[in-house]
This record gives sequence, C-alpha cells and structure tokens, in this order.
Amino acid sequence: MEQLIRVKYSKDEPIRYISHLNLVQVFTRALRRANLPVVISCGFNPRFRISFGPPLPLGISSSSEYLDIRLKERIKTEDLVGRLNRVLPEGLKILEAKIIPSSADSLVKVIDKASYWINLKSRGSLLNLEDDQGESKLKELVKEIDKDIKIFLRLEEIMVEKSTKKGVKRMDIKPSILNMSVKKIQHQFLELNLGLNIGQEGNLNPQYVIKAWLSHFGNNFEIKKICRYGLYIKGKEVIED
Amino acid sequence: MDINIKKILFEELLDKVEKPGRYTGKEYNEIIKREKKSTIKVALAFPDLYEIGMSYLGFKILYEIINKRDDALAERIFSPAVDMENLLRERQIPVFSLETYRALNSFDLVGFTIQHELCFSNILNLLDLGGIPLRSTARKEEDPLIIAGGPGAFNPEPLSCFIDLFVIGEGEEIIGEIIEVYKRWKEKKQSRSKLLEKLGHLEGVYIPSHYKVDYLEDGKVKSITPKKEAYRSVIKKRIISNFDQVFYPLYPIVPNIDVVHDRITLEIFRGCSRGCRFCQAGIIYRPVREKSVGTLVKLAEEILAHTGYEEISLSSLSSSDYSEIERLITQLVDRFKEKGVGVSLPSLRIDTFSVALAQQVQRVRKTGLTFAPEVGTQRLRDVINKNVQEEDLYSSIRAAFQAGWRKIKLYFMIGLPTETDEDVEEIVKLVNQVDRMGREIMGRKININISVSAFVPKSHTPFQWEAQEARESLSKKIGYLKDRLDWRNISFSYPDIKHSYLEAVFARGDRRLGEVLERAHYLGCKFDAWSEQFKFEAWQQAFVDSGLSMEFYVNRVREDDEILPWEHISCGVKKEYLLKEKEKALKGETTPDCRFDSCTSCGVC
Repeated sequence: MEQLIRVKYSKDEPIRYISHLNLVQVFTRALRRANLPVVISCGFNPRFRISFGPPLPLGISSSSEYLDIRLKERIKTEDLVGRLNRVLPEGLKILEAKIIPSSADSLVKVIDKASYWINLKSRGSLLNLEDDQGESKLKELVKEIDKDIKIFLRLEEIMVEKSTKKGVKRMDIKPSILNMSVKKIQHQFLELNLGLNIGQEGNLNPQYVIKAWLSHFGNNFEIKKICRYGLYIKGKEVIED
Repeated sequence: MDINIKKILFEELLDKVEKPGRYTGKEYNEIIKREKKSTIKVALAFPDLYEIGMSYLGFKILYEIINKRDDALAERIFSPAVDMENLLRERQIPVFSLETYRALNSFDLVGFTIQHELCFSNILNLLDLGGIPLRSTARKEEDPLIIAGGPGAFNPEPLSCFIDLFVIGEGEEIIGEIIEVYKRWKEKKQSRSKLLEKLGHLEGVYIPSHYKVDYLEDGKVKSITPKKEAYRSVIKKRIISNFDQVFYPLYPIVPNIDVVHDRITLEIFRGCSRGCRFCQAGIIYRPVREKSVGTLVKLAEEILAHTGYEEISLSSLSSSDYSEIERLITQLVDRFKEKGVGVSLPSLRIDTFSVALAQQVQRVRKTGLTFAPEVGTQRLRDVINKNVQEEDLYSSIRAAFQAGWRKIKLYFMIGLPTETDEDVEEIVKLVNQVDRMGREIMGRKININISVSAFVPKSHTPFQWEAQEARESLSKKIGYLKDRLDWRNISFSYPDIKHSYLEAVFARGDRRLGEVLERAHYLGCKFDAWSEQFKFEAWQQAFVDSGLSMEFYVNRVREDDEILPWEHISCGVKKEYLLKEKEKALKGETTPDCRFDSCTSCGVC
C-alpha cells in the first residue's frame, strides 16, 4: 500500500548556503542512503516521488520547511524520521512526520503564508545600555521604528528592482507583504517579524522587503540573518504541533 | 596571530561570495578526526575550485587512506574563487581547510594534486594565500613540507623550486611510507634537510633540490646530475602491486553543491595499451591492470549504500576494453535498476561493440554518444596510431543512429605531426558525411557536437620530440573549420590557442621556468584554464622579464639525442620504444595493442 508522508524539517548552518535545486539532490541521496522505499517515477529518467514546499532562497535558514515523500509500503513515521536523520548532512534535521491522504494537494499549491524573522545590525549604536533611562528609551525606539514601518506599509506601491537573467525587472512588492513589526531590540541588533503572502502569485524573497524599507528610511542597518519560522495553510501551520 | 577563521567565515564572508557552498565543508562523509599532539596533519590541496577538485578520484583515494590511519589526518583545501580570494586578502585571513577551518601553513604536510600545466600558477597562489614561502629554499623547519603528485608530476621541472618533494606514479602505497618517515623525523626534531635525505630513499620520490641541472649555450639541457652519489640517477614511478585488492575509497564525500563529476566513480582498470602516440595517459599509467567483476560489484554496492548516488560511472581510459565488460554491465544494471540507479560509460572506443554496450546502459542516451575520430584522414589516423579504420568509424556511427541516438559528439585534434591542409579539409567532409547518414537513417535533422582541440606535445610520449604548430597557423585552421562547421544542427567548440600554447610551454619545460612562474604569479596570473581569468599578456611579460622564450619550448623540434628536462624521471616505458614509435609514426606505420597482439617491448612489464 502506498503511503504519503509529510515531513517537517529545519535548514540551518551550513546547508542554508545551498540552493533549492541542490537541496532536492541532497534529500534524494539521503533517502537512498536511508534505504527508504520511495516510489520511483516511470520514464526515461527515473526520479523519486518527493515534492517540496516553496523554495527557500540561498542564505536563508528555516525552522519550518516541508517535504512530501511517497512510499511504496507503509512504515512508521518515527522510523522514517530516525532513519533519515541518521543520514542527513549537518544542517538538515527532520523535526516531525505525519501521514496524509494519498490524494492530498501538493505543498506549493496550498501554502499561502510565510513568516520570517529578520536580524539586522545597526551601523551605529542603537542604545546606550549604561543609561539609567535605558528601559524607557528602548520603548521609545521601538515605537519610533514601528511608526516608520507603518508609514512604509501605507505607501501606495513599493517598487523594487529585481535582476533576472533577462535584465532588470521592476516590480511592486506591496501586495506580497502581510505584516511587519519590531520583535526585539538588543545591543546593536534589531529583530523584525515579517509575514509574506506566498503561493500561486509568487514567492517573494524577504530581502527585497527589508532592503526597500532600509533604503526608504536611511540605510543604517545591514542584514545579518534571515530565518523562515513558519509556513501556513489558511492561517494554520502546515503541520501543527 | 590567532584568528577564528570559522567565525569570520560564517558571520561575515559567506554572505558576500558566489556559491558559498564551496567553502563550508560539512558534507556527508566528511571526516573530522580527533587529534593528538603527535597526529600528522596533511592538507590535500587542489589548485582549482571546489567543484573541480571534488571530481578527482585520486584526491578521494588519498583522503580516505590517510584518514584511516591512527597517526594522521587529512583535510581538503581548494583554490578560492577570485571573490573569496579578495576577501581573504583584504582581511588577511589565510586559505583554510574545509574540515576544521585550519590555515594551510599549520599543516605538517601539504600535498598538491597536479592534473595539468594550467594549474601551476594556482599552486603558487595557494602557497601565497596559505602564508607559506613560495620557494623551497626559503622555507624553515616550522613550514609544512610541500609535496606534489599526479599526472602533472611526470615533468616536474617547471615546479621544482616550489615543491620540496614529488611523488612519481601511484600514490596509494607511498603516502603511508612518507607519513612514517615524517613521523619519525618529527619525533627526533631533526633538520629539514635531514628529512629530505630520508624521504629520498623511498622509491618514486623525487627531491628536486638533490639534483643539479646544467644548460648548454643554446639553452638546451646539458646534464642532470645527482648532487650526491647516494641519490638515484633515475627516479622510477611507483606502481601498486595488486590493483584488484588495492585500497579503494568506500566513503566518498557527497558534495552539497554541483560538482563536475557528481556520481560514483568505479575505476574498472588502470592503464591503456592502445598506444595513441599523442596520449600521455596511455603511457604513464601502464601497465594495464583490471579489477575483477566480483570486486567491482561489491565496491559499487558498498559505495552506493554509503553515498546514495543515482549513477555509477565506469572509469578508465577506454571502458570497452575491459575484458569482461558485458558481464560487468549486465550485473550492475540488473542489480541497481530498481533502486533508480543507472550506469554510465564515459570513455568508449569507436566500434559497433561499444554502441551495443551503450545501448545497454540507457542513461548515456540522454547526453548523446561520443566518438573520437581524432583526425580527418586514415593516413593521419595511422600516424597517431589510433587503430580505427574509416569503415569502423562509419559503421559504428550508423549503428548509433539505428539504435536511436539523435545526438552525436565528435572529437578532433588539429596540429598533429605531418598534418596537411588536406587532413583538415577532410574533417569537414567526415562531419558532412555523418550528418547525411544521420538524416537518412533518422529521417530528420540530428544534432552533432564538434569539439576540436589543438595538439600539445607531452613528455613521455612518442611525440615528445615534436614541435607544436605555430599559433597563427593553428588559429587559421580553427577559423577554417569554424566557417564550415558552425551552423544549423552542428555546434562547434574550439579552444583559445593561447591556452594550448602555454600548456605546451610547461608540458615540456625545464627548471628555469620556475622564475617565469614566480614572476607571472606576481603579475596576477591564476586560473589559467579559465578563459575569464587567463592573462596571456602577463605571461608574455613574465617571459620577457625572465629572459626566456616561449617558442624555444614549444615550436622547436627536439633532436633524438637531446637531453630532455624529464630525462631522470622514468614511467617505466623505455625511451627507445618511444623513439621507435615516433619513427613509425612519421612513416605512417601502426603498432597493435599488446593485449590482442604480440608484446611491443615498451618496457613497462
């Protein structure tokens, strides 16, 4: 009996530095090492029947990625998790697995939202910690940046330039942005939350949003790290804890 | 200076470079060893990018052999691409290993793999980036010992002032012997010259500083003399004793990013006795030695379980010459088919038998079949001893079309000894004939890929005395072919003749070229095999500055009794044999393969 298993995994150092295409190959080989009974497609160039969620741009890490694996025979999900984790390269880890109906829609078809956590480093100093009034100043600063974000999000359109193989393309990224807010400020670091629409219309790289925002308000930060921490179907995590 | 390379790499550098996956390491099967103070640390240095170096079998063999030892570890170091190099130089960070991000100069031994002459400048650049003095004479006791091996070591002379020790021949056994000697030396805390003295006793080891080269007034080599009586006058290459059972890497690293050869390499045999007269590999890897079918199937099974690759590539200089090739292919295909694992045969001879083999391994079909007629006429084919008849060529290509291949690759070489304009014109006729044949059989247009290269005379071949044709006339020939063959369904690729020219300079160069190399390095030469980095003018400048002429090395016919710069390096094949082969070549006489005919007395067995 065939079985479709949906797997949640994380992608961190150093695997975040490989492209999505390479990631597909890394998983394919790991599945073969694990000797899992994956269904092989017919045709000239046989391939494993596995399908991924929306690609993660190179350099971005994630604690919440998904992959569907179609198996020829039933196995326990905890077996699959264990066997796969033993043969994955450093930086990839299966977090959980769930059996889903064999006819389930593909991940890219149903996932409609992604959440990102963005870590920015200030080129100057954000806050003087020795200051007695640190606490209140911090609140003030958060308020100020949140105000900036609100103004940014109220813009009629947010045009960015995207360089593709065919040259530079201009596009409005505003329809992709769902929400954006300050998460935390610590020392020189500013952390933001960002929610993006994802799916049929596209899969926007969050860097465009951050760069547009930074250039809009004087570029005092550099991006240190971006992490995708959630993928959602109609408001719910793809696999809920 | 104690800097945390890993921290800087991950926090600051990786986000700024192209293909950061080249520098992270941590691939599946990477080995990070627990080390003691006494552990001998070996850097396996490949003077090209990660994706090139990770494709070489020799590199994988040494990595596993060394890491299997209790007393040693091996880590990988590749040339950084120019963007990363600039960052490293800017931040004064030494080039580092992928395993533990250790600086090149903190290893005990550094072993370079030399695949070809156009990576010489990268060796100097790596030493420089690693904080190691370029010249052997400038190195101190605490500097690593610099070793080099691989096919490029068979004429070691151009690199002889930068490399402390060359390994001539096969490395599987000698690497352990070198480590043993090094270990004992390190315990005793003796001088560097003592170490070289001891290593010089090992068979297959060439220590250039133990030899003195004198030149005649016209620039030719006058003599190559050992500086002490105890030093060998001729260094014989190492040959492993039992090829079937010799160590084979069972846990090759599985790269996370694309590399050139990203599949299981199964070396089915080593050596080739076909005897093509331009081919260096066909001489230096002799004698022919096969692994048994049983051994190969077992190896394939194990490596597959450890790597999960989707393809097994049978590697050798001419795979259809393997004595039990049909049995091997049948066993491999049957065994791995249901796992979705294919078999590929990259180097096939031109005959209908090979086409039948290719049919058995369907994966080849997607990439097209490759044939190497080499030249346009049977006369020249006999000169180079490509023992293929024109009829065989056409009948095998016909068989390929009949079997359904619509894409054919044809390899040619121009500038071979005795080549005339007619030989070049005949290449065009041959291609047109194949094109016509394809259309007739397939009933539609077919794809033909033509790849032309220029002949580079190499050491240890029957053509080692021959001149390379002048650059202008080679370019004219390329132009002639391009005008007639680069259109419609035929695609045409050809080399930059300047590359072939520089390759020819170093392929038969002498010791004095060390100065040129050093000069070229300071003028910024690196990645000479990559056209976007190649700086030919800088090379010309380096030659002018050193008072040497490129033409002297390339465009001059060498006399039979001339002392060649590699006269003291023996690959086992006798010089008399090579000379006899050269003479037969010029008369258009062929020499059959000793596997199917009588012994040719080449001297290797």
